[in-house]
Parts: sequence; structure tokens; C-alpha cells
Amino acid sequence: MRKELDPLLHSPLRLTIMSVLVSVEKADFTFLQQQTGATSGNLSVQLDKLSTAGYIEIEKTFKGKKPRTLCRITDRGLDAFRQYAETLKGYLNV
Amino acid sequence: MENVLNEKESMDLIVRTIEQTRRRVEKHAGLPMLLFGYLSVITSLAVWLLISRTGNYRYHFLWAAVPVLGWLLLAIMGRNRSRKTEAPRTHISILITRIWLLISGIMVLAMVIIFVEQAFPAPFLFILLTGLGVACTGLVVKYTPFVVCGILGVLLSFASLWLTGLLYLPALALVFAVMMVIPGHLLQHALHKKQ
Repeated sequence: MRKELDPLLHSPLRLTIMSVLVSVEKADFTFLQQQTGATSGNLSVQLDKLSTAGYIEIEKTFKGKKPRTLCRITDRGLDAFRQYAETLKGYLNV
Repeated sequence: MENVLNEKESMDLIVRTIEQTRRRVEKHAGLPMLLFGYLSVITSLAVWLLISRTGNYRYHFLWAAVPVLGWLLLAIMGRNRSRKTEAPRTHISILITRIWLLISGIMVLAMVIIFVEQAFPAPFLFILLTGLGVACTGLVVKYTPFVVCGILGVLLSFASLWLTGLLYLPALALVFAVMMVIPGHLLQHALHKKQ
């Protein structure tokens, strides 16, 4: 019987966010917005969902006087992403 | 209701996003190689000219400018770029930075030893370490010109053992140009074409 795909990752925006974060040490909100093309509101909601699941860590800091949100993938998120990619490969027979 | 992707779309999205992120972040990947390459070429020629005109071997102190100026300029460039683009660092770029920090550390240690033991084969060690660094960088980023030029540098480091007098200084400039400047420009050109 085939494994189910992780429903949290099986959404275009959350999968894009995770694919960006898997490639970099950490990324700030502006970079994620540029890479995903999402609106601020939608991106915030999806980041919260990933953070609640423990897939990413969100750090609020300041750069000069401007607030800055930094996101980093966690070990749990990395495992989930790998598992998701493996399951996908199984479906696609690659 | 959220859009749902089929399996192929999901896989395409992962591959596309990772590739786009890598391209965007590594737009200036050849710059450190060019910066250290040019600094090494200029320093080799400057030390050669100054010593051959004055006979004063203390001009070898100028070598310290390569790691000091190189890392300083790199830090300034990185800060200016992150102010403009907010581009993060990839895991690969972090690994490469650590390789070069280790190599720079060994070079600085070698510079100290040269002032104590002057028979120390400094050109051999500098070319060998730089060649290894370039080849390792090439293997990590899978860029063949770095691997080829790095291995060429390693081979030339042994040839430097046969150079006598001050001849090794212009030879060093030439080797640094072949090992770092040429592949650095090739990488920058390739990245600009990809963008």
C-alpha cells in the first residue's frame, strides 16, 4: 500500500517555502516573498502553519530600526521534506 | 480551499524552486575567487618589483595584505549585497567559506614560520594550498574549470621547488592568474549567461 503524502507539505505555497528553506541556511520574510510571489498575509499564515508543526523556526529580530523575520528549516522539517520527496518518487517511479 | 498539486506538479515545483533559489543566491559565486586571485597576482608582482629594485626582503610583509584585505573586502561586499537583495547563504557557500578560512589560517601560520625559518618553501606551500582550495571548491560546486585549474595549481606547486632567485615571484603571479582569475571570470560569465 502506498504512503500518504504529508498534507501539510502538499500545498503549492508551503511546498515552495520548504523548497527555498531546504537550500539555504536561513531566509528572511522579504526573500521568501520574492521567491514565492505570495502576498504578505498569505505567506504569514503559511509560515505560522509550518512553525506550529515544528517544520520551521521563526526568529523576530531588528535590522537597524526595521523589524526582520528570519525563517530556518528544523531537523523535523528536513526529515518531513525528505520523506515527502521519497514518497513522491515512489508515486512517480523515479 | 487550497489548490492541490498532483505528484508530478509537486516534484516539478520542488526542482524548479531549489534551482531558482540556488541561481539567485549564487549570482556572485565567482567574486571571492576573483578578489583573492587579483589580490594575489598584484601582491606577487608588487613584492617582486620592490625587492628586485631595493633588495629589501622585508617587503615580503606585504603578503599579509592578501588574507587581511581579502576577507575584509569580502565582508564589506557581502554586507552591501545583503542590504540590497536580502539574499541568504546556501549550505554550499557556507562549506566553501569554511574551506577557505581553514586554508587562510594555515597560510597565515606559514607566513609566521617563514620569518623564523627562512629556508621554508613558502611558494610551494602557498600554491599547493591554493590549488587544493580551488580544486575542492570545484568539486563541491561541480564546476569543472575550478577542478582542472586547481589540479594544475597543485602540479605547478611542485614545479616551483625548482625555481631559483626572485623568479618565483612573477611565476606566483602567473600561477594565481591561471588558478583563480581565469576560472573566476569563466564562472562569472557562465552565471551571468544563466540569469
